Amino acid sequence: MKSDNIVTFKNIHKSYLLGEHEIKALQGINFCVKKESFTFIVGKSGSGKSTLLNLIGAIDTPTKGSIMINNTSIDELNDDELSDFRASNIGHIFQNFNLMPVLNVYENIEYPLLMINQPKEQREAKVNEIIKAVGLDGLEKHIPSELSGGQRQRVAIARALVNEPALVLADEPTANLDSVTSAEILSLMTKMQKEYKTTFLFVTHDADIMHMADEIFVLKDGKLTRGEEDVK
Amino acid sequence: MLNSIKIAFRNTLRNKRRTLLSVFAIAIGAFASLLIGSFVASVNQGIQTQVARSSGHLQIHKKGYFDFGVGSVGEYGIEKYDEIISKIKSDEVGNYINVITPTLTISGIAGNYAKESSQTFVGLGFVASEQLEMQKWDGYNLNMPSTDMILKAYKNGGLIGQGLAKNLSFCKELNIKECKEKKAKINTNPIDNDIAGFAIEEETSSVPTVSLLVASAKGAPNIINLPLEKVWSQQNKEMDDRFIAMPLKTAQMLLYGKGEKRVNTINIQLKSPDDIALVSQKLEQFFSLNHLDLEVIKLDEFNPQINKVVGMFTVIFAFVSVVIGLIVIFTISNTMTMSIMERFNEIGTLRSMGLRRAGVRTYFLLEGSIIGIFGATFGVFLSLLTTTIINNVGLMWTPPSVAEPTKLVFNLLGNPSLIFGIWLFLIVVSVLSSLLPAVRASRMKIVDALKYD
Repeated sequence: MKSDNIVTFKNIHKSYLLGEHEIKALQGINFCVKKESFTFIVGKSGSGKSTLLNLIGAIDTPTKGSIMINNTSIDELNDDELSDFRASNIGHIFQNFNLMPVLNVYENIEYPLLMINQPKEQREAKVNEIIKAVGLDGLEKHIPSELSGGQRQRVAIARALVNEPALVLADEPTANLDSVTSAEILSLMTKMQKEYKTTFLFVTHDADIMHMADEIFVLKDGKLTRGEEDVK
Repeated sequence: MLNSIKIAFRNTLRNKRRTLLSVFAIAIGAFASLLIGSFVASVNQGIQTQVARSSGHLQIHKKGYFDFGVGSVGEYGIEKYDEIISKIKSDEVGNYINVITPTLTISGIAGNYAKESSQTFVGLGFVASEQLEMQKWDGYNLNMPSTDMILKAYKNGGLIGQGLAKNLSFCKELNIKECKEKKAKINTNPIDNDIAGFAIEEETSSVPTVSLLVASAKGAPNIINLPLEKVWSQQNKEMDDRFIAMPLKTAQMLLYGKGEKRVNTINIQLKSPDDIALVSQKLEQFFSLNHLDLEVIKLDEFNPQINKVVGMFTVIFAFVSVVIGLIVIFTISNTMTMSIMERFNEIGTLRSMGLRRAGVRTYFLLEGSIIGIFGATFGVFLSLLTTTIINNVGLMWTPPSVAEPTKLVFNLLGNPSLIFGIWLFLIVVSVLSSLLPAVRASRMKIVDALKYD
C-alpha cells in the first residue's frame, strides 16, 4: 500500500569508529516526512543532522533499522540499484554548491537528465524551462567560476529539481551566502517546491528561517526530540 | 558516451601543465619506440634486400642437398634445370617471380702460382645478366646501393673476393687499395711439375689469372685458368677470403667436364617478399605434381644470419619498449592519482546524483585514453618528422652482414603496422595505467568523498 510519507525511518541506528572509540551518531531514530512538505531538520553541530541526511539521500547505510523512501525499501538495493534510485528520486543541494567546474550552467543542469537517459528534445525543453524559472537566463554558457555564490546556488537548485525528483535534500544551502542572497534563495526554493510539488528536506541551524517549515525535527545527541510521535 | 568524452576531455585541460607533461612523456615513449622499431625493421629489410639480391627469396635444391650437399656437390646436381625453370615460369606460380636463375657452387684450390700462393676457394657459377636483374630488386623501397656496377661491366671472366685476392697476391693487378703483397717464400717444397706449368703460363699473360683446381663429379681433378676481371667484396670475411664468381658454364665445365651439365641451386627472387610462404607452398605442390625430387628452402633458412641479427635487435627493441611502457605506466598512473585526489568532492557529488561506480571508472579511463591518444599521436608525428630529416641528411653506416657502408635509413613510413602497433600499445598502456586509480575512485564511500573540498 502506498504511503503518504516520502521518508519513513524505523529504529535507525548509525555508529562508526573514530580511532578506537565507537561514535553513536544516531540512536534509534523513528520518523516520517510527509510528501510535498517543506521539512526542516535542525540541531547543533555534531547532533547527527548530516548523518541523518546522508541516510535519507541513500548515500550511506544505517548500522541497524530500515529506511523507506518514496515507497522503496532502500536497504534491499545493491550499489547500482541505489545509484539508479538516487538518479530518479533524489535531488541534492549542497552547502558548497558542488557544481561541476568543467561544465557550464546549461550542462550542469542537464547532467541529471543524461543520467536517466532522457531524449535530447525533452532535455532541452526541461533545462530551458528551469533556467528561466530560477532566473538564470543569459548565463547558460557561463562556467561556475564566472558566477556569484547566489547564482551558483540557483544552478544547484535547478540541477536538483530538473528531473523532478520526489525528494530534494538541502544541506545548509544558505550557509555560504549573505543574508540578502539567502533570503532570495529560500524564497526561490519555496516557490520551486510549490511549482514542482516536491518534498524539500532541509538541514539547517538557522533559527530565522524556521517559520518557513511545514514540519520541524530537532536532533540532539543522535536522538530526535520532536516529531517522534508521527511514526507511532 | 559523447557527453562522458566531453567531460573527460575538459577535465584533462584543468591542469594543463600536468596533462602536457604526461602527453610529452608518452610522445617521447612513442618517438623512442618508433625510431628503434623502424631502425630494426630497416636492418631486417636491409639484410633481406641484400640476400634477395644475391641469392633470391627462395632456393630450389635437389632433396638432401641443403643438409648433405656441401660434402658431395656433384651428387646433388639438378638435372634438366633449364626445363624445370621454363615450366616454373609458365606455371601460375611464375606470376609471383621476378627473376629465376640457376647457380652452381663448387669448391677447390685457387692458385696464383707466379706468386707461389694458393688457397681453398668457394666458387659460384652464375648467369651474369640474370644476377644483374636480381641486383635491381628494392621491394622495401630502401634505395640501397647495389653491386650492379660490377655486374654491368662484367664480361666473361672471374670476380674474386677482396680477401682471396689479397691472399693470392693480386693486389697490384686488381688495384686493391691498402693491400700489402705477401712476400714470396723460398721454394723448399717444389710444386708438382704439371701444376707448375700454369705458373709459367700465367707469367706471360697480361690479364691476372687464377688457376682453379676442382675435383670433378666423378672424382677426377679438373683445372682451368680463369682470367680475373674485378674484385667483388663479400658480406663476411670468411666468405670474402674464399670467394670466386665465374660464368655458370665455366663452373659446370670444372665440375662436370664434358658430361651432363647440372646446377645445384635454382634461385628465385619474388616480386614481393610477402609471398615467400605462398610461393614456397605452391612450388612444393608443383614438384609433387611433376614428380620432381626437389625441395624449396626459404631465405631465412639458407641465410640464418637474418634471424640472428633481427633477433638481437628485436630483443633490444622489446627491452626498450618494456622500459618505455613502465615509464608511461608510472606517469599516467601518477597523473590520474593526482587528478582523482583533487576531485574527491566531485566524485562524491556525481555519485550522490546517481552516477554508478562504472560511470566514475569510465570518466577516468577516458581521461587516461585521451592523454594516451594525444601523446602517442604527437609521438608518431615527431618520429615521422625526425626520420624524414635523418633519411634526407644521408648519414652512412655499415649494417651487420653487409660489406659496404650504406645510407642510414629509418623506414618508418614503409611500416604502417609498426606505427599503428606502437600507437595502440601506448594508448592501451595509458588506459591500463588509469585503471587502478579509476577503480579506487569508484570504490570511495560517497560520504567520505563529499567531505573533501
